[in-house]
Amino acid sequence: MAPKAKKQPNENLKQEHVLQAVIIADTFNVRFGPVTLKKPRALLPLVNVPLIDYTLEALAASQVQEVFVFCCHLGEQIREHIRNSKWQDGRTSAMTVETLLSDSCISVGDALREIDAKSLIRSDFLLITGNLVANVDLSQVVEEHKQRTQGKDKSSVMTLLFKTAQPGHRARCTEDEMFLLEEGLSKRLLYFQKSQDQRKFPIPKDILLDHEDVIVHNDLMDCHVCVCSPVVPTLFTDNFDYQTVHSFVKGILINEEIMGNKIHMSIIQDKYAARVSNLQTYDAISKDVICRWTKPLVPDMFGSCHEKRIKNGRHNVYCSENVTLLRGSSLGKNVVVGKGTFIGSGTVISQSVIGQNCHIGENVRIANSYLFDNVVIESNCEVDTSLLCSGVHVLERVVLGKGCVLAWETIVGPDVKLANGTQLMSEPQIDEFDDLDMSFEGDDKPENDKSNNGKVEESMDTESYGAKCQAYLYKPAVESDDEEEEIVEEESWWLYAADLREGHWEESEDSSEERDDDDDDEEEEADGDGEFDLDSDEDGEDNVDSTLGFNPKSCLLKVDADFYKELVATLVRADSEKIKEENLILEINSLKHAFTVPINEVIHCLPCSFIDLAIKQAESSGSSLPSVLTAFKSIASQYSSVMCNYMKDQESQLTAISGLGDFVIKNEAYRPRLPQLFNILYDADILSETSVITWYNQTPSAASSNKALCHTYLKKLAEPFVSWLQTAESESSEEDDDDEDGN
Amino acid sequence: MPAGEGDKASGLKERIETFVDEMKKGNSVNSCEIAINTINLLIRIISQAKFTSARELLKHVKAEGKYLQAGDPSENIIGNMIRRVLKIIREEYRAIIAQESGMERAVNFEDMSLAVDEEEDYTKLTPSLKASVIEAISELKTEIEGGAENIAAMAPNYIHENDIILTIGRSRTVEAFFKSAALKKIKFQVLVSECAPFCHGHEMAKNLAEAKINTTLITECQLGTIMPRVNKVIIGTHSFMANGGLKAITGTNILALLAKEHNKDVIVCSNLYKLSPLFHSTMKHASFNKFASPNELLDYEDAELLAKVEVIAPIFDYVPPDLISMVVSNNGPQSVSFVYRLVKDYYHPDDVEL
Repeated sequence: MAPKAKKQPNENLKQEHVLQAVIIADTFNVRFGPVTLKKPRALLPLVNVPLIDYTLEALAASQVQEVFVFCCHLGEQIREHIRNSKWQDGRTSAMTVETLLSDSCISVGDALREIDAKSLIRSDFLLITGNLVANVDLSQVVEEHKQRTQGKDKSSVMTLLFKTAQPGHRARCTEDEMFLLEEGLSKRLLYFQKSQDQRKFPIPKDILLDHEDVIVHNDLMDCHVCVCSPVVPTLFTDNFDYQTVHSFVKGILINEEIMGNKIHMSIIQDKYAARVSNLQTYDAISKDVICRWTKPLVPDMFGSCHEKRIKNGRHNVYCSENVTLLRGSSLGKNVVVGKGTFIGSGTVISQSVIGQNCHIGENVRIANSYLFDNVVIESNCEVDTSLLCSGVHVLERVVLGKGCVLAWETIVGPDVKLANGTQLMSEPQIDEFDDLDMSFEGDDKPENDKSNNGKVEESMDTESYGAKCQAYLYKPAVESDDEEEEIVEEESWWLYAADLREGHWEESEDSSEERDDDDDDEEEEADGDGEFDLDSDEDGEDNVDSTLGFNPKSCLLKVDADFYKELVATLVRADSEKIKEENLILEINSLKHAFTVPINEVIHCLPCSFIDLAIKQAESSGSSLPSVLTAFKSIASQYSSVMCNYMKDQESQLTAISGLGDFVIKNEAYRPRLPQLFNILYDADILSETSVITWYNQTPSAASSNKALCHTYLKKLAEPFVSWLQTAESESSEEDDDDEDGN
Repeated sequence: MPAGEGDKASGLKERIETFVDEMKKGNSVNSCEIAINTINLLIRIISQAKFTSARELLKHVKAEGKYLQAGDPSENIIGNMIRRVLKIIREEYRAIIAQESGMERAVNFEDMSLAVDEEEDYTKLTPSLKASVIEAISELKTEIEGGAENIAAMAPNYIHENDIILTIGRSRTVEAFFKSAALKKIKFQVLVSECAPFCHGHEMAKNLAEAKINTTLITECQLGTIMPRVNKVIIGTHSFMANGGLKAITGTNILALLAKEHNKDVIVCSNLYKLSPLFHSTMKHASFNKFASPNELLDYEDAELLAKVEVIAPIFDYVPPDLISMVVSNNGPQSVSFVYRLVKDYYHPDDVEL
């Protein structure tokens, strides 16, 4: 590697040091959803140039001589890309790039351990991710680190690079929000904590006692650039708990006194450095590139080469040379159009990036969107705040809601409207994906419980995605609670972008908090709409309803309020229009698909929705309790086939019973009437006695939990019915016995 | 020696790549350097080119030139130099042909009459062409290198005792112009507008002050108030267009407008390599302007402003020809309305589009 560098005698060479950099070209997570299934993130085009090219260019500009690119997920593609890039021939730059492939790595820590095993590192090196966009001179940071290690602070193992950005800044990744303490004079990092929506941080007292000059930072954004001493890979090898750089930093800070290692920080003020870590930052950094913050890494200078020259006009409109713009089409501000693209008349594009060889029909509206190469959009479509990968085909008159992501080669349309935040892919999500998925999990948080993921949407939903579609719904891998953050993440892109559309691109400094609050409000509103209001306070999870003896909220199955509302509306309509039962089943099924709720939730809601129907019918006759019950009785017998269709086996019946239980907990008036409700359903042959008794005898695992308390409470309510049932059963069994005797 | 030649060829390619890369990054600021570098590259390209006729050479130089220009389409000087060299090739070819046919004075006649023989196809074999072209290009190089001195030598004609002169930003030509006047013991005062946000004016003011010239640095916003006190405006330019309009550093347009308002002369000091045969709105003229990073004008960390403000940071202004009184070139003073004639002299109409 070294001989290449020897051509240019420079400062580093005098010290016989070659400046090395390690690029981790994998982020070990699935923040991009379906987009990264076929292409590694490092090769995703950011303003029509693969992300890793920005990173390599930044390194080359910082006089880095030797680069190791470490890739896992689809690493072969990255290797191929680098082989064909200008770095490989070694003529145009003194930088050599070597790709390291590894399938077994599941974290940054593993990658560094492997690098340590290969003993590739000879001196201080840069550790960066393969999605860094920067115009800062990294060699200066390395120099700063070197001076520190050679000077007074020999024990410094790492210098982290940060960029100032006020809270709520568009390029700040919500996952990476953090809180830091810095020692003012030495720039030493004293305390590091990821915010994760916390408002309060416990600062160890001795930090404040031991240091005179402590600076508290909440205005920083992590660039994921660190200068590491050669000892760092060894430290990673020594401690297998270090999975990420952050866990390493925390580990070092905690063990500081024992090991004597220190971490320092460096803050960029005027230059640019940011990392594309999710769709929201993808959006933000694309805009920064277009607005020329990253100069010289801007489309007309960096993305432009011999084959494709890009012109830069006022209001940041970048147009390649052979773009066809028909009469009446207009490019608003901040638009990039790749070469060979055709744009039909009457089409309006703003704040968007269009890839190469795209074909956009007439009267299309594209705003805030990212189109990769070879995308076809037919006439009269509307695309707002969406990401369309290569080869996507949008047929005529399709409206894409905010935050849609269409992965590779998806076809949608014609004449459909996709709901906000729909993520589609061209192939059904396969279970093997889970295994594959494992390999890039656990960057920021260990997410190991993946076994219950990967919902398979078996059939193409031609109703939702158009008659000629080739599209399957992608379900983000979120089921368990501890990944809730990821859901927020997936959604926040378009929430965020929606803010942009409204004219206030981002809100003021505490916008993220505001947004969170907004979300809460929305949730609460939604709850209210769906008649899922609880009598008790919503605020505290630990609130115990005095009448019940337990907290109702925590033991209720969370139900999609919109779905429930729609379900009740459907039933009311079915009742008034006398729709046949088979058709009603079909309608309920389509509702299930439209709201993508699992089947057990449908079953859970069904009894309650029928009771709601009964309440609505009874409203005309004074809506007294008895009249509701009689109405429910007639409804139960009328729609028994519908309900039976969903409650065939015992398991589904148990779900329905729990739904019923949830209903009475929420509607206090019906609590004493639980036995009657049971009776009605039993009489209509919807619930079998065995399932009622099984339910009655169930004992939840944790005896004192809310669930258990709830269950005992319901049991107490239902006791009259069950005891009646048991006596009836024993009688009938006696009769049976008699019969047998008789025979 | 095929191996040696291959080495040479790859060496040239490498040079071209570095040049284009440098241009792309926008590292070089000195326009004279750009012109000289371009010419050096063109000499190499021509000396290594294999051709049988002038036509092939023209084609080759055009193709390579297009590639050079692609590095920074808004850098007119590269294109100007390529066109100048193309013109030289054409002239030398004609000279050789004329010599062969015994009409020694033909070249001059053609120049005089404006009736250039358009049917010339440049296909005749001219073995001595390469040598004479390279010689002529070397002459061009010396002309460019000496241009600034020539212009500076004319300074005493334009700067008089007790003049108050306004200038903007930094121009090496203008700096030499002032210094030359100061050497002639003329006492005058210079006001330098700093040219924010890049503030090249600071360096200019410093250099002038070191040359014992009475210099005052002012900000752009003072231009309007200071203009009535000024005797004349002397500025440099990035390049000037075929109609005499300037492509100059941002702020020049407002300066020229103010000067017009107050009836002050605007004198542009410029070497003729900055003369471009293009117009401001030539369709194929890839991009007239360049845009800087908003970094200098807006704080990136300020989330609220960043979202609401669109920053346009153009590097150049277009100054229409009617705001300019005169161009002082290395060939002597030129009236703006006469620039079209210079274009005719220096460039062949077929070369305007590369």
